[in-house]
This record gives sequence, C-alpha cells and structure tokens, in this order.
Amino acid sequence: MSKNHAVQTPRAERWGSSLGVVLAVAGSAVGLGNFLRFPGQVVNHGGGAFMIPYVISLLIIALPISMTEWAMGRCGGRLGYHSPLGIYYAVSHKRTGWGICGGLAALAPFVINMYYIFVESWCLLYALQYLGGLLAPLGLSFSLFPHCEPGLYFTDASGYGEFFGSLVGISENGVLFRSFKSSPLILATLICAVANFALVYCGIAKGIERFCKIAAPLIILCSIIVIIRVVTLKNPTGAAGQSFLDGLGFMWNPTRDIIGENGEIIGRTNIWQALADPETWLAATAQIFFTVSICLGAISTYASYIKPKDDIALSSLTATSANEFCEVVIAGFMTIPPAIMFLGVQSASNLGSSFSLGFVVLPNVFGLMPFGQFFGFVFFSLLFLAAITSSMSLVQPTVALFQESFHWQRGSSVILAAFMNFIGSFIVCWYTQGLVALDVFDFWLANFTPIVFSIIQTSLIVFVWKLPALQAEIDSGARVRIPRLLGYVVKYVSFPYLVCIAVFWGVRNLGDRFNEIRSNHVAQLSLGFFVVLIVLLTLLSMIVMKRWEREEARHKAISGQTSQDQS
Amino acid sequence: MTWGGWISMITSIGVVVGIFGWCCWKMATTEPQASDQEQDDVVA
Repeated sequence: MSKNHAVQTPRAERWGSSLGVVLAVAGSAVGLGNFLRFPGQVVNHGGGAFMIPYVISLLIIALPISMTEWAMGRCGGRLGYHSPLGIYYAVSHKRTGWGICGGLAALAPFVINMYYIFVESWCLLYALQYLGGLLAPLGLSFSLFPHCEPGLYFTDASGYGEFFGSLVGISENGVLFRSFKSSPLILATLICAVANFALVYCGIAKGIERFCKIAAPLIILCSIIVIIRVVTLKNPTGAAGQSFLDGLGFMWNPTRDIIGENGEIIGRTNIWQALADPETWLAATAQIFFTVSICLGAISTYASYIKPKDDIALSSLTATSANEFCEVVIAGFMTIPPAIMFLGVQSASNLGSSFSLGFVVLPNVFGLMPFGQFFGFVFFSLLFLAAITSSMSLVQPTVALFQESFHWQRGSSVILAAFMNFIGSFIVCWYTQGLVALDVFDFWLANFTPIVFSIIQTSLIVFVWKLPALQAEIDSGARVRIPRLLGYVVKYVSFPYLVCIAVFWGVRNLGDRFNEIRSNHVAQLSLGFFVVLIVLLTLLSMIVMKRWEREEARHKAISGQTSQDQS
Repeated sequence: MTWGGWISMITSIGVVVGIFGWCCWKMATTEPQASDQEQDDVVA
C-alpha cells in the first residue's frame, strides 16, 4: 500500500514513549463504566457466576480484538492516516465503501463525547462540593449550591437522591439554563469541554500523553486510598450481614439470594442457573466489550500515532489488562462492599444503575463513613480523572478526521470539533427530564453503534485485510511473540461470537428502543440529529476519498514523469 | 462470603493480575526493537 501523499501534515505527530501510548489507551478505556457499571452488572447477573463468561469474553473478545485494532491503527498511521476514515481506507486497500464505513465509525466517539462531558461535570462538581466541606477547618469552606451546606451530607438518605435529581435537572427540560445562578452544572460542563479540547489541542505527546502520565498514577493513588479505607472498615451498624466480607460476598458469591424491589429476599439462584441464562452471557460480553472501548475508533486512532517499528503486541495486552485491573480488582472492592456495609441489602435495588450507584448510593455511604467527606472527595476526583482521560480520547478521532479531510492544522480542527460538540451537548443539557436525551445518545452511540461496528471492523480485518497482513503488522516491532493462533481465534471464534451476541442483543433491546422513537419527541430529535451527522459524514467521506484518489494519481504521474526524465 | 465466592473472586483477580503483572514485567524487562530512522512528513 502506498503512503498517503494527499495528507499534508506537519512533522508527523508521534507518541513520546511506549509507556505514553499504553497509559493513553488504558486511560481511554478506564472510565466511569469500570467503577460504576461493572459492580452493578456483577450483582445483577449471578455474582461470581458472571465472572465465568466475563473472563471467557476477555480472552476471546477483548484481548484479540483490541490487538487487531491496534494493528489496524498503526498500519493506517504508517501510511499517513490517523482518522477512522483514513485507517479503514488504508487497511481496505483504498476501497471507497470501506472508507465510508470508516467515516461513519468516527460518529460514535464524537457523539459519545457530547454527553460524556456532561456526566464528567457531575463528577467534578461532586468532588468540588466535598472539597468545600473539607476546607472548613481552615476557614475556607464553600458550597457550590446556595441551598446546600459545604460538603455533601444529608441527615435523610433521600436527600442524596433529591440533590442528584436537582443537580442534573431531572425534573424538567431546560431547567439547568433557567436556574443558571443556582446550579453551576452548565458552567462545569463548559469547563470540562474546554479542558478536553485544550488537551487535544496541545497534541498527542504534549497534551494527551503528558496528561495521562499524570492522571494514571493519580487514579491508582486515589483507588488505593479508598480501598484501604473500605478494607479496614468494621461493621458500621453491627447488624448481621453487613461486614466487609458480607459486602464482598454480595458481589462475588455465585449462589445468591434474589432481592426484591423492597429489599426482601424473594428467591435463590445458583451458579448453574446463572450460567444457563443467556442474559448472563450477554451482560458479561457487553460489559467486556464496552469497558475495553473497542470498535469506537479511539484505540485505532491512538495507535496510528505509534512509530512504525514500535511494539503494539505487548502494548495492547498491557493497556487492556490495565483496564481489567481497574475494573475487577479496584472497582470490585470499592463500591459494592461499602454500600452493603452501610446500607444493607435494601440498597441492592439501586446498585444496578450506574448513576444511582455512583451519585446517590455512594454519597450516602460517604455521609455515614468516618472521614467520609475526605473519601468522597478522593472517590469523585478518581471518577473525574477516569472520565476525562476517556472523553479526550473520543475527541481525537474527530480532530484527525478534520485534519485529513480539510488539510487543516490541529487548532482549526479542534475548534470545528468543539463547535459541533457544543450543538450535541446543548441537546443533552437542555433535555434533561428523566435524562432521556442522555439515555438515547448513550444507547444508540455507546451501545448499538460499537456492536454494529465490531462486526464491520472484524469483517474488514479478517476478510479484506486478511490474516497474514494482520500477523505481519502485529509481529513488526513486537516485544512478545504472538502466535499465529490469534488470527484464527479472531476469524473463527471472536467473529462468530460477536455476531451471536449482536443478534441476541438486538433482539433483546431494539424493540423497546424503536417504540421509544415512535412515542418520545426527544428520542426523535436525537435520532434526527444522528441522521444529519450520518449524512454529513458520508458526504465528507466520499468527497475526501475522491480527492485522495485524484492527488494520489497526480503524485504517481509526477513520479512516473520524474523516473522517465532520469532514465 | 461462601467458598464459591472466594473461589470466583480469587480466580478472577488472579487471572487479571496474572496477565497484567506479566505484561508489566515484560514491559520492564524487554527492550524495544530499534526503530528505523524515518523521515517525517513536512508541511509543503
């Protein structure tokens, strides 16, 4: 494949070090889902039994597919392409149809970022509110909310849910803009957006890599602090079933009680019943899929900035396993056990919802915990750092797309991406009643689209790029030897498994979602917005590829003429 | 915490820590292959 001479870029951007790209990709993958979604999924789908399909999916989906995505990215980068459009175009030997797929693959990360920064701002505000309470002994206490004392503490547990609801404007559309003076959420969202785009503006090595090298150790430090606190807690209420081991058991025991909506025990399941339930396998595979952030364009874009002869085999394994470490080891200890210890199994009905667990249940726990304000600050600082390292990875594919499409410098591309991001974020921030817009954005772009593109991307790799090219790319610069078996696993195990999961998932979820579109005007507006973006991306992809073909032909003609003149 | 819970927790954590630990050890003990000198693209 020939290099892309049509892309006029400044001195090619590269990661400064192997560690930098590993931390960036791990940072991209480690996000709110690790700490808030995973524990709830384990609890709701068989506890310890859930981990069997989870580990299987890790081995046959996450590790191999992630490595193929790294390989795709570096191949594209070697040829001068850094956006999903360019990478698909390069890997498919410059076929227009696949290029359009690549252009559409840039949709998911771009739109996800529009609502992710909204959620990120919640973490920032919670952390700052806790900080306001911590500074009281120094006489510097503050509260971000006029109706709240410094810190985050309510004598009545329902206060935490009411606080969260009023913070995010869950009662009414547009309320966040009407109550701008009483709620800093819009300002916080703007701050998060500016921070994201500023970091991406600074570039791959000086912005993203440098920030990840600071954020990653801080995330680990915050995690250690919270885990030590949780592990050293004694049974706070003295009630039976609320010790630390009981909390761990609630999450990990494969034989478990089924908790009803009112906290009463209504049944019992065992490991075999959980494994026989297709929902367990679907939930575990979906969790693995989303936690590793494969087929979102972020990994391949990041990998495209790796030097052509640098390792991707060991780097991809390290980044993926680092994400799993944060999810299974860290999140496994720091969320469910303290919730059960302080609130008992009655809280179990709230543990399956990520937002409820993170922004209602855990603040309630910190309110009851000794020195809880400090640990609340540490926990939400951790969430904020995890969120921002993920969200900025979602911006880079779009910036690369604009750079390649318009021959723009990074700054102009960032400004256009920010402007378009503003439009989508406005929809999410305005239609907050029931968080419907956020939910619609999340379902179609963070769930549906990656599942569809997992099929498309894997098809591209195994049927178009083909296994020998994949293996050669992985072997180039590899610091560990990856057996040929990997390609066959991807083609004959991962790909069929993904197809099965996609079908099951579609049957399980799409019916209700289509009904929602028919009946909910916010869903219709959101979908209309996505359709507009799809049309624009398709047109852009077609125009850009036509131009690349013309410029490639012109370059060949010039090279041919030069060779003739020399001979 | 039942025996099944201990087994599932230790096995899950063991698999993850094992893979991650092996990767970190390899990152620390293997040398990257020498990169060829390449000429970066320059703005025309």
